Amino acid sequence: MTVLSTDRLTLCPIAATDMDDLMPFYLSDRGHWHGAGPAAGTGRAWRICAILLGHWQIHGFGNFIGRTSAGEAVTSVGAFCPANWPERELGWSTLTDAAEGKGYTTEAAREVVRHYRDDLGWDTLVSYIDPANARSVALAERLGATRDATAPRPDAGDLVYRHFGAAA
Amino acid sequence: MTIAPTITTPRLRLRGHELADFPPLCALFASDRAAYMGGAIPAKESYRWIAAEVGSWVLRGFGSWGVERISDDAFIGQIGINQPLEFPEPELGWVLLEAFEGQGYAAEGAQAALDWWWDASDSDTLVSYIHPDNARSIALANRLGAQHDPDAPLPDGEDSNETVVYRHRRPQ
Repeated sequence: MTVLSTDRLTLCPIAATDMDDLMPFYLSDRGHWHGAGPAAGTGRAWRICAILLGHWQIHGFGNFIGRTSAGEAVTSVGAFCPANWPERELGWSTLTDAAEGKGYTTEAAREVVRHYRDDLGWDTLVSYIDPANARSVALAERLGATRDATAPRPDAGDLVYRHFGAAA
Repeated sequence: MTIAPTITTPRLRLRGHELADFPPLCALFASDRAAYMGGAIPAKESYRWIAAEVGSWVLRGFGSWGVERISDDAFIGQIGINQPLEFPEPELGWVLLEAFEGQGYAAEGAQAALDWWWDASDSDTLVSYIHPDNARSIALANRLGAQHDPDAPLPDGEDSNETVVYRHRRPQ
């Protein structure tokens, strides 16, 4: 199992034991950008967790959950690539209001980008971001990703932020 | 982490899903053959459903298998035991690519999944949710020994016009 670490966090592939932290996140308003949220209900939240767990088995990569030394789950970062997507996509979430504004997700994302580029030797990595998601756009720019206006994208309305590599 | 166990039958291998299973399965779910599974489903949605059925192994200890024909390693379809939160109980389902129908493969694979369930779980029952117009699937449920259970609860949001319940019971 791949375990990554940063100054403040340990990043582990998400597991069944993370459900107690992931379900409240997807059921909260914070789940909105992931097609979840309070109105979508527990069935949707559970299914997203199942998808993320299945993704690891199918692809051998996926979301990491970042915990502080006290064990608090604060961020989820990792690549997602459904069968029909043009490139592997890095996504991120700060899991709770309490963890917001402390730089945890930036810290985790930097390490995960490094892992994919240097450890796994991937050629490309992008993030697809809804332009209305200003916090996520700001995080992409903080990570040094640059806008790619021409890259193919699964949703025509999304911005593509490129972490490294070039579109095929 | 629980992953799908590999099960073999005289002609088939049930094993965990692989990335290569997705294009043929997504094409199947996007075709008219998915009429009894909620209609033609976009590939994006199918990917998520299948991935969740793989993740189910981690969360529930059961989930879906990709099915291969042993003689030539051809990928022929999917068999799964799943219980997303909308389902009141675990459900056995099956789907074959069109080219592999009519040879008893679905029955052989589904029987293997049933046998695995009776062995691996404490449960004495399993259901199959089937569209009432899906005569082939109903015939297969009957051939597997399942019986129509008109009193069984339906998945959330479904009614008897779209779903009938066939109940499999542990052999005595």
